[in-house]
Amino acid sequence: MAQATSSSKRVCELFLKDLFTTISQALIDGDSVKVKGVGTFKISRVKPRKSVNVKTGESMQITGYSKVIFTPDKALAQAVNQPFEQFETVMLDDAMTDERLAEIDQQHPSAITDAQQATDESPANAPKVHPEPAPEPETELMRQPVDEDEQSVTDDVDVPAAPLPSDLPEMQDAAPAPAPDALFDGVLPDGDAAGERPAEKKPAMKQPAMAKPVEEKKLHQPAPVKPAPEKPMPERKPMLVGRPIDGPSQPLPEPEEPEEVKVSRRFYRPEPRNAYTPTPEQIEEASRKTDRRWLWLLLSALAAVLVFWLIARGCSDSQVEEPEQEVVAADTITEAVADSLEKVKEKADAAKEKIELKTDKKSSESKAEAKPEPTKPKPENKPDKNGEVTDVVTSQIVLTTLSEKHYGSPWFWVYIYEENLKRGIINDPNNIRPGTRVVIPPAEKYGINPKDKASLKKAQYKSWEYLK
Amino acid sequence: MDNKKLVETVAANLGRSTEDVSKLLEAFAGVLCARCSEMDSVQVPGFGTFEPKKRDERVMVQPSTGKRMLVPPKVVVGFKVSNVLKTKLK
Repeated sequence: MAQATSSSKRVCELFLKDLFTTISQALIDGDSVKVKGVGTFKISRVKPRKSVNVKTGESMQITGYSKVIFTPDKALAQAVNQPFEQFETVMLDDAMTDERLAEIDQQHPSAITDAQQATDESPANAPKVHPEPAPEPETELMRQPVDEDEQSVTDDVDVPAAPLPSDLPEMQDAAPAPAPDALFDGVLPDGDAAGERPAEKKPAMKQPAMAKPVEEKKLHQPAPVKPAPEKPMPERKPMLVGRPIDGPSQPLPEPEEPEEVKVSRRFYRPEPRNAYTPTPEQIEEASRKTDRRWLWLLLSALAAVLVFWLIARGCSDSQVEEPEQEVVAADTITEAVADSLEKVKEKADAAKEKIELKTDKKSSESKAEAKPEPTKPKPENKPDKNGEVTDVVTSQIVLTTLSEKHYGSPWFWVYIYEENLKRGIINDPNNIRPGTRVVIPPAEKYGINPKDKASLKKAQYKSWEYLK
Repeated sequence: MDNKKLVETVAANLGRSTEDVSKLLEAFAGVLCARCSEMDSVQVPGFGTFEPKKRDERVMVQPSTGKRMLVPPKVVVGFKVSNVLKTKLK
């Protein structure tokens, strides 16, 4: 210090002595002292408190005292903290696992080595790195098969779709692409899905994820509509469904020459893939093993999403048909359906009815109509049109409220539950997803009569059984 | 008591100008800073010890949002009051 100020040692000593006695005196007086470049000294009084002598077990009184609280000056704190300055407080990703960290390490060895200054720093660095690069390999893997399939399938699809000129051709591409994945998904055991990392699902992956459930539906769908001439119908459905998913990313072309659109589509599709390519290839090689693992995890997660989706939508076969209307201009569809209707004339009655219904709907409903509303009622009602109603469960409206509304007594919720359990719409009466559309069976079916005590008793007994 | 008042008091006690005293004070702060940056403690007899301490990283939960944050490790300067001053304070 003497050197720094070029003054004598004695002066410095004197100064220091006086400085600290002054500070001490101020502190003793109960004052706080602020010293520029050093910090603030404060006095805080600790209250006397009772405690227990550990050895003897006697209670004793700890006398109160004053303690000095020192808060370092900003400049001092910063200077001292210099080695750790580059670190910032980071938001933690709760879904982070050791495996993931390892993957990141592989991908960014340099980043980690930088952080090796202190051993325990690497986790601090890793999360920062994570959000961008981590999902790359997964999405890439997901994407590539999809794209390849898409292109190979495209040609096949052209043939059957050709007879329907009014169709929007680009949809044909969109629809078949995710199909193989959907098949794959269906095979997967849902059990281990357990929604492991739903949070990590990036928007990019949502596209295939959303498309899949729809596709799987399609797999079930063709059953009632098997006859050959009907072919265009099931095909078109998923196509149109595919649209809202692709919609944002794709310009919506008017119905045009199929070839043109297809070309533009092919051009478009690979683009997202390019966006991901920045991942160096050696990294891919290095983490191929982990990638496969992630692929499995991802697929199982997708399966979980699928299951949720099915439950939420009540998993009716005909769902797939519905979104159609929202998407395509009403006129186009009516025409198309009329065309196919002619072809399908020899088809079974039930199927015919369906289409007729659809045509009606289409002409009456606007394309902008929200999904859930048209979804259930028509298909559900069609087979048993005899007074069956559907209603939506929300956070406020539960089975009992619905029962009260439709039957006049909350006890008959059991029958609503039974009916929907049979159809696979609900599983757990206490855990119904808000927005689920449930079927309200006609009162006669279960002999529901709120005025009849026996009927009430029966319902009460049943609800007891279920809630046990 | 803020810095200015402290400087004035010390200057009056020593019979020196406030400029001198503030210069000395700055020099002292510089020395303290330099020593602490090297993880060396500075002891002032009769007053206490300035000692840099390393704080480990830790996970903190933000009470308002419930989000978990990783707080990085850091070095802070701690101050330990000497026994002399402690007894005086009592």
